[in-house]
Amino acid sequence: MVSADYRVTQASMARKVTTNLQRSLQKLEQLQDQISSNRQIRRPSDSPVGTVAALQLRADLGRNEQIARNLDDATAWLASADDALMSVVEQITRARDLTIQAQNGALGQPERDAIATEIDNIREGLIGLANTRYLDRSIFAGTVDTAAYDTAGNYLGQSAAIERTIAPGVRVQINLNGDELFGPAGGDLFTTLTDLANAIRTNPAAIDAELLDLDAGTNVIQQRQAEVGARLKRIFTMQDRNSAGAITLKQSLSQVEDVDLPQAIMEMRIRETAYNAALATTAMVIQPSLVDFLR
Amino acid sequence: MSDFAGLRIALSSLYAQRRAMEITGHNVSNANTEGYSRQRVDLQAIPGATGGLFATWDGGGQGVRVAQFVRYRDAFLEIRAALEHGAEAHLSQVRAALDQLEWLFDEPGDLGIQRGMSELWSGFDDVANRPGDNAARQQLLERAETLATTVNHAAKQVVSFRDTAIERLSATVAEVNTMSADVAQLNEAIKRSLNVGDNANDLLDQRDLLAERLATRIGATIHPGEDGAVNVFLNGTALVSENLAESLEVDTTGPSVAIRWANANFPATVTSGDAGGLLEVINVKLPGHLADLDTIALKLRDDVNALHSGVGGSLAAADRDQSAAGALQFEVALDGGAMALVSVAGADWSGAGGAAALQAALQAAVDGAIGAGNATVTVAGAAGQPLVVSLAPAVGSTLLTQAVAGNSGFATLLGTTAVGRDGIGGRRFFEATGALDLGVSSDITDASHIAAGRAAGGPLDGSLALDLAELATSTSGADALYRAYIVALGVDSQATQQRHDIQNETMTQVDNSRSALAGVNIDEEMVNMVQYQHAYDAAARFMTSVDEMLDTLINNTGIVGR
Repeated sequence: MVSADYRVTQASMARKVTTNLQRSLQKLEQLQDQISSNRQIRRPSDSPVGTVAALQLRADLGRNEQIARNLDDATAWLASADDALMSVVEQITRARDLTIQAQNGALGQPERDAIATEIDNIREGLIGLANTRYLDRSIFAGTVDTAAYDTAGNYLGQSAAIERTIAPGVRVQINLNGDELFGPAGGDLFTTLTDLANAIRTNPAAIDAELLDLDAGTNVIQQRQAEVGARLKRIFTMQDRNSAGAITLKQSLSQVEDVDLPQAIMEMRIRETAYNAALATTAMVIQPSLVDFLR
Repeated sequence: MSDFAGLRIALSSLYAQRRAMEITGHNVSNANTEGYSRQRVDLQAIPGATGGLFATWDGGGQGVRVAQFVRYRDAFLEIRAALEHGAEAHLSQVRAALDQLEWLFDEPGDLGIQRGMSELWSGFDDVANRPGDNAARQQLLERAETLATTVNHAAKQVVSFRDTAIERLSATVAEVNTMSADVAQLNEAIKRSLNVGDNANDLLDQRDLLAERLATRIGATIHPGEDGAVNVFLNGTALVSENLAESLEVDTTGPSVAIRWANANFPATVTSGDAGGLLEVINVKLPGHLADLDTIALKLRDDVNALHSGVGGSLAAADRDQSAAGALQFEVALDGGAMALVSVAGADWSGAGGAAALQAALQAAVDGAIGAGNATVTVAGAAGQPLVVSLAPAVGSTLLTQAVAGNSGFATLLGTTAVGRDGIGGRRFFEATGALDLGVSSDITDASHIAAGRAAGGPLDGSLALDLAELATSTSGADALYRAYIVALGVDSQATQQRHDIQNETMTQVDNSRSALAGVNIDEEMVNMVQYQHAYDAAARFMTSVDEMLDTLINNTGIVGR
């Protein structure tokens, strides 16, 4: 407060009043700006601590969105592989059934030829499945941009682990390489099937040995299929976690950046009232001086 | 005593009350004049003259006179006000500059540099997801360009803020020179006025107002001088001394902008006022921010390029014996020139001296291909450890490398080299000497030139892009630097705002103290007016009475019995 002998003049009063009115108008403007933009941090100096949190959260959110895309892509790759492998196992089972039929000594050469031809067809179908594509890329071919196998069943791919980042710093392999899946060149499933067809046609005694090879190959594929399933499950878990993470991040960002509307509106009402009161009293106080009372 | 003394006394009162009334009117008229100090007449009774030896006068007073016109002004308050105004102006300039910077970056927001960097890293991930897709690569290039442009724009704006500040500094100094000359002239006028006994109060007000503006503009200090003059100093050197004014000029020739004395070409120390604030903005704040932006841009360039343009590879411990491999070959081109073959005869490098031997052989081969001094080969790895090979171009050069079809030399020796879809490695992603010229490197003229994979990885290898995308979460990368920078800007700006608010308050208090002393209160003036008017009325009445008394004496005396 001013001391007792402090002189007050009209000019100083007017200055003080305008300063105070200006100040309360500024605060009103600030609140209005916050409410209309729904942001309580309009620039770093509004809250440096909030700003660092907001920047970090925004960066994390950006990363989170990208990881969601990566996860979708990984799911698609693995799901394609899973589908293909399911068909592969079906086809192999069919080939195995046919082979068992062919081992029946009652069958004549024409019947065996027919079975062998069907096995050849199955082999072609399997090569087709081995060349399964997702987004125009052979999923079993590693890092080459050609098909995984040519029509003769030769592996054309370059085996490599294709990975996706599914969490910051965490990568998961999303592909299966043809040679790991169908066996190394020369010992692969397609050769086994060719040999099997030939054995059925010409040398039924060799069928058993080929059948063992076929079963071994089937085992590998089933193992891989289980692997794919496990990875898919992991990715689904990560997807859940990632979308939960996105919600948490958005909530945190909203807490840091957004205006608490009820509170802000309340505060604005209070400030408005204070401003109006200041205006009204100013109008009353500043008018009269002794001039008004002297005649 | 004369019979007519009463008339003279009445007259003196009429004069004095009228002068007092005029001063009251003058005060009321200037109630809203900036820098005006209220005035008051000092009335003094005129004592009776000491009579002569035979005087019959009884020593009564002879009326009233105006002794002096008092100007309400406290010199010490003026000195303090000058200091506070200077400090306020300084902070106000710095605050405005930081304010501008904060709006420039628009953080936290959806259009700032942070967003640009996030998008860039996402772009790398998209390329990693689809290395063969030209659209993903094109999108990455667009994002890199956008980010670079945003950084360029910010840096350009900082430079333009500085240019504007320099212009304003020049204008301020020009204004200061005019005002100093005016203060010197007014000093002279006041001195002359006072010497002949005139009332110089209004000149004093004008002069003091100018002196205070000098304090606001350039942080000058005010010292009362002789004969009503004030001397104005700039950190101990006289800007105005009595009726002499020095002039200043802005020196923009050096890396730092300075204010100099025009006469002596000697640097003037300016640390306060608008000019002091502008100098801090021009020489400290803005260059500091530009340097910070440069650091961020160069960090971005280096982090990305280290992965994108690194030329090198490794030989596994088991593969160090290459004596059966024949010639290991790859091709190198310097600065966009033609590819030249580098061929090293395979040898057994498994021993302790293997690394040195391979290094010497490779260096010789590379020198032979592109000339000595253009690239440095380093090979490291003790016996039993993998051999790590790297190839670095001389500063400012680009080194492109390519495998030789059918020769595994490249794959084994330089297998981890990042390569574009065309199999050529060593391209830089960004180029920059600072934030102003950050841009996508001229090495990349086509989206296929973006290296998503490594030489040994096959055409659809995305492993390198995956590594690049992971820079997003680096705790020491450009993102982290930028966030730290924005927070530092926020803290600086916030602290300046608070200091400015406090200084503003202090200044207002001094101004209020001054106006409490010097300001015109209309009520007070009205009371004075009434008071002087009554005194005037009374004096006139008194004169009438004396007149009547004289009338009685002259016309009605000695007529008894007529």
